[in-house]
Amino acid sequence: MNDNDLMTAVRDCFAPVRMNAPADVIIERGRCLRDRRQRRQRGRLAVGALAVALSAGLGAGLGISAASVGSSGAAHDATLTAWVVQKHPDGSISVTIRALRDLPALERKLAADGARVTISYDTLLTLPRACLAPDFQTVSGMRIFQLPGEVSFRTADPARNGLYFTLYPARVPRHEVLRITVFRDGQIPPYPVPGANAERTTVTFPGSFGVDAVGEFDVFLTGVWDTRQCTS
Amino acid sequence: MEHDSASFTEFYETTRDNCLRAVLASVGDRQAAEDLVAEAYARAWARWRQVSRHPAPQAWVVRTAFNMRVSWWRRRRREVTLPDPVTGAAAMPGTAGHDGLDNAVDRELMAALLRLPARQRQVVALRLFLDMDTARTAETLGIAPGTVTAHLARAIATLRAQFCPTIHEESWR
Repeated sequence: MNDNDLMTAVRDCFAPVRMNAPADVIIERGRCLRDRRQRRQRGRLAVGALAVALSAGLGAGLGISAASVGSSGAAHDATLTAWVVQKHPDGSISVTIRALRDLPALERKLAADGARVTISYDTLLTLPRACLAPDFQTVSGMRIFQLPGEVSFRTADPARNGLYFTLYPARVPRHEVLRITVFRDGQIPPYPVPGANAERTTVTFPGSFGVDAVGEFDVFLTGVWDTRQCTS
Repeated sequence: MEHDSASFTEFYETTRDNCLRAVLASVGDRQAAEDLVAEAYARAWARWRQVSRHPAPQAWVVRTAFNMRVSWWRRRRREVTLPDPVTGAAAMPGTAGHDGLDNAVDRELMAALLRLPARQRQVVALRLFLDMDTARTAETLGIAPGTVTAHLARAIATLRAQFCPTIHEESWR
């Protein structure tokens, strides 16, 4: 008897062994496990939100009046929130975006705080030139937004990944919206953009966009008309 | 969700027997093996979106069952085995009458398998019942491919020494 014969004999001995539990019983048990896991996750999220709320409360003494957080960030680093919005007593809003997730929720939160912002990915090239708000340059000079200090976007330091800026919603003219567009490095807008209208920098959003979009991206901030064509 | 249930059911129907055989070969107790496999499948369903994308979902199930076995043993070490109130004998899994083995499964074969070290049993189970190659087995068990080959060779040598004489004797009857 060679090795194959031996293995065949062993396998044959187990041939009558059959799993009797019906699939619906397994699925029912799996459903319980899944529900329990989801409840646990919700509990953890609530604890995380409480921790953020506590830290925001701590920051109130430093002039921070409110903070909102997005859902968890990139899958490989679930401890990071996707974004954080903090409204200050002077009406300005600090925004930290570590991953482009739950963007509609982020836009809604900013809108609730009085800042009309639209955030999109890789659509700059399709944005009609006519959408660029001509008076944005002046508004930009009034510091609608600023990129605070040196922004580090290196994956070696995940805690510093992302985009940080401060908005001054009261200074944004009516009929204008701040548009933030993230696109692949090297994709140049096909039309000239006044320098003061936009900040362009290179960032890395690990694991963002719901795809394997790890790499270098450009962030483009500009003012656009508040129309469906320009903000969608 | 319906699609998930359908794909899971198909997966379960086509793989459950081999998964049970693999776990039984490693565990040696039919009832425990069936419980472990059922629980592992339930966990697979609970996260079916991820498990269905696993390169070898049945390996995920068996590996989960193996891990639960470890947890079960760790829990059991903290438990005290009470003697049977009627016979006064301590109930021990793996002993005759308690192992829940099918009569169809050769008890001598199972005894020979259970005498193998745990890791060798797991290698045999994965290679034999899930038709895994060396690389996949190594990945599933978290060990080096060379270690898989060595475990398999030793297991076969041991089984040959313990099991083949029985086969030869029976073949001559």
